[in-house]
Amino acid sequence: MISLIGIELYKIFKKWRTYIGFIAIGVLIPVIQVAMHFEGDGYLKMLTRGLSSAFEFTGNLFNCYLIAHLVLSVLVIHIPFLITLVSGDLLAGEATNGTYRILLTRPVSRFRLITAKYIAGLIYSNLLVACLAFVSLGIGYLIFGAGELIVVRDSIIIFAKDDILWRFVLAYGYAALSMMLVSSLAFMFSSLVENSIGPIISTMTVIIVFIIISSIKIGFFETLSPYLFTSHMNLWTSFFDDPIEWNKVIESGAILAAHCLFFYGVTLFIFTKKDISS
Amino acid sequence: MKYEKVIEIEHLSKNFKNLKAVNNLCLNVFPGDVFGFLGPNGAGKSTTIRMLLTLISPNEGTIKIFDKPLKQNRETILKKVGAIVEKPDFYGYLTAIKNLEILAKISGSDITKKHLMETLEIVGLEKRYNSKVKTFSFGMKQRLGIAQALIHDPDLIILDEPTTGLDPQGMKEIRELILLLSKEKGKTIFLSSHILHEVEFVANRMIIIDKGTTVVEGLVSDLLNSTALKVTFELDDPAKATALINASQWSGKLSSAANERFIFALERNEISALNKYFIENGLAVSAVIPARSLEEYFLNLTEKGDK
Amino acid sequence: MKHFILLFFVFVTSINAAAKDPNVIIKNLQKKFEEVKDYEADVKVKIDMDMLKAPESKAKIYFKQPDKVKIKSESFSLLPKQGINFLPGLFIKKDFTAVYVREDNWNGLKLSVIKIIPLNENSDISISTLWVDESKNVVKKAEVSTKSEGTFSIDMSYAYADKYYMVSAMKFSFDLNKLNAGKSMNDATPTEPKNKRKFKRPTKGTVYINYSDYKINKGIPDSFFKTDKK
Repeated sequence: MISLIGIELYKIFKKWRTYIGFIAIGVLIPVIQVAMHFEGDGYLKMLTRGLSSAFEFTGNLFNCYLIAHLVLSVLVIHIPFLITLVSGDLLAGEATNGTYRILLTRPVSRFRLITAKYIAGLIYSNLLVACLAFVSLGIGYLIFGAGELIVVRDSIIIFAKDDILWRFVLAYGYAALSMMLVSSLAFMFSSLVENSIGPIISTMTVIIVFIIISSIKIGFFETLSPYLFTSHMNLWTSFFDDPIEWNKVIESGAILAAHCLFFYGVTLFIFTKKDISS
Repeated sequence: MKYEKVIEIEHLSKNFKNLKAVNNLCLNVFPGDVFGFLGPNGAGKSTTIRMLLTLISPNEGTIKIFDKPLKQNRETILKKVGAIVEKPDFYGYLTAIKNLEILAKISGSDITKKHLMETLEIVGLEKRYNSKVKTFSFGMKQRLGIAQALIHDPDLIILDEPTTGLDPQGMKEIRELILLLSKEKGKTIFLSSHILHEVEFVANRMIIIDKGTTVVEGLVSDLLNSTALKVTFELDDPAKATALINASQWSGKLSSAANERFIFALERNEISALNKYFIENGLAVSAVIPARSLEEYFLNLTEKGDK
Repeated sequence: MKHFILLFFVFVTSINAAAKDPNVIIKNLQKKFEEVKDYEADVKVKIDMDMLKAPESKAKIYFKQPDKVKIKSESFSLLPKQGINFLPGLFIKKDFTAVYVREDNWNGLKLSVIKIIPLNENSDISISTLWVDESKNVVKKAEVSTKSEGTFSIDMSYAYADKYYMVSAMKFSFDLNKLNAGKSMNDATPTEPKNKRKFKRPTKGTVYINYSDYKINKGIPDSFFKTDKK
């Protein structure tokens, strides 16, 4: 299985489209960081305007943690698209290339092939989030240094310097779980069609529609919202609460993980029974 | 590996919606056979091959390969099967040798680069081993397709239209390769083709299917001998020849005559008798050309089926 | 309204002919205050506020007469402006009326209660009440009502640093009725309805400041207090 996963990762990283995500992150985030370097005071003032009239601030609130937190929140729609570019191509790409025939006539079960591709897709998703973390925090640290983190949610929370990094680790971990769900969904759609554009569009459509439904706070839609996986994808923000609602986070995390397994299971069921005519 | 039959298909059927692509097909392939799998377009050849390779599931019937049920022993069986199915496609963004390496690894084979290069040499692609497959012509991809079928030294090689896209020299090389694999390496070859003279030259056993069903199955030599030959005699004196033929029992065997060419429908053992008749009656015979081939046989049979 | 309050207090104090002179008390406070030309001290700040959570922080506070204050910290710290500027501000502004109210007994200590009413109509402070320990000439407690920032109270403890009786701890309590809140930037897909997630303004809270390690009258230059412009 390790060998199969290695082969799938090799194929993924031999395609140019794989690098779109890393390049996008590598360019976009530094652009945000440079913009914040020049305009960040205004942003910080906006966050702290409720307090600045009554309190004197010292220290470096404008630091890599603030920027990384901002980046994580604004890229929640964009990163899934980068995930679908690769995950949506994992199976559909074989159909487009016509390589199903040479692949599926090998002495290896479809279960192992599908699982290897699925895991490779998950690895790619995690690498992309890791890249996001590295560029946000790593390069952010070089530009802005570290300090305390101010987060404005229902209240203002300021986290001590030594109380932040582990939160980001967990937040990025949760974000990675969310992105693995996106990968799983795109992978499932990829098994149904023979062109990778379909899974990309389908996955993004599902996510966007679910987000829109979640934001309509009227009657039926409000009742439906907790059952949509997109309502649970954003709980990485909970790691920047004090105290952290562990029950809520664990529950939502379990729901995301269950979705991943469900989409994987459906893909396995469809694909192991599928007739390969292409 | 010792087995009685390499392929045993019994009552195999496959439906696609309202179309019965394969209908109660039965065939047997024995060790060492070069088995010709023939049929007109749409006969169900590719569907059958896909079922042999588990790309498609049959609706009814059983398939055994190396005496083992295919469904329950898929991985064990496929380790010793190499195949091309229709147009061979590869990962265009990878080189030829990298494609073979990946396929070998997926198969779980511990194949060295040296062996891969030797295989590429067999199919004439050793100079392009490091070129990306997207730069290959159709014929080169076909050769690479044959290479990937051979890399893990299979006992059974399934070739679906292997000479498609090849030039005459290439076709000849493939025919020679098939014979080499069969006679010297002891491989069993399952050869599907609609280029019938290719099958005639290499196959020892064959089946012809039409509309998913067996039309005829047997040794090529038996099938060829069971029908009358079309033999062309080229005679120097057409007028004298006409008179001689009309005055003899051979008139009933004459199919057509044009100038010096007289075409007869004869049994094999009648050719020398007729030749002797012409010579004894002072008629010079400049050529005797038996024209019956598997192609005519195949066309006849399928035409009969249509009727 | 302000004139009415003023007249009322004048009337009350005129009746109470035996009341102390608040101006003298304030003058004594100021004299004591001005003994310290400048100081530097370490402060530890702990915040207990609804709708704001912040870690305990450390900073250095610098003061130079008459009202120069500077806070320096390697890390984040949050100090109430009214708290740290209260005493300097008290003595800088001369346009007020002081009224002696009574004597209070607070933890066995006799404290003189003075009300201070600013005369300037544009002043943000409506009225201040001071509890003064006349034996040491220090303000033990202050309660201030402001027009824009609600009310706050300051409880101060003192201890000797060198020969000077300095603030050792300050408890700054407030009840803010107006604060502009920062919007949450973090909710692309809020898990709760938006009206529930509307940022609630911090209104009440207490800030505890502990002073230590005083360095008094070391001669801090004026240039030190010039604001660093970014």
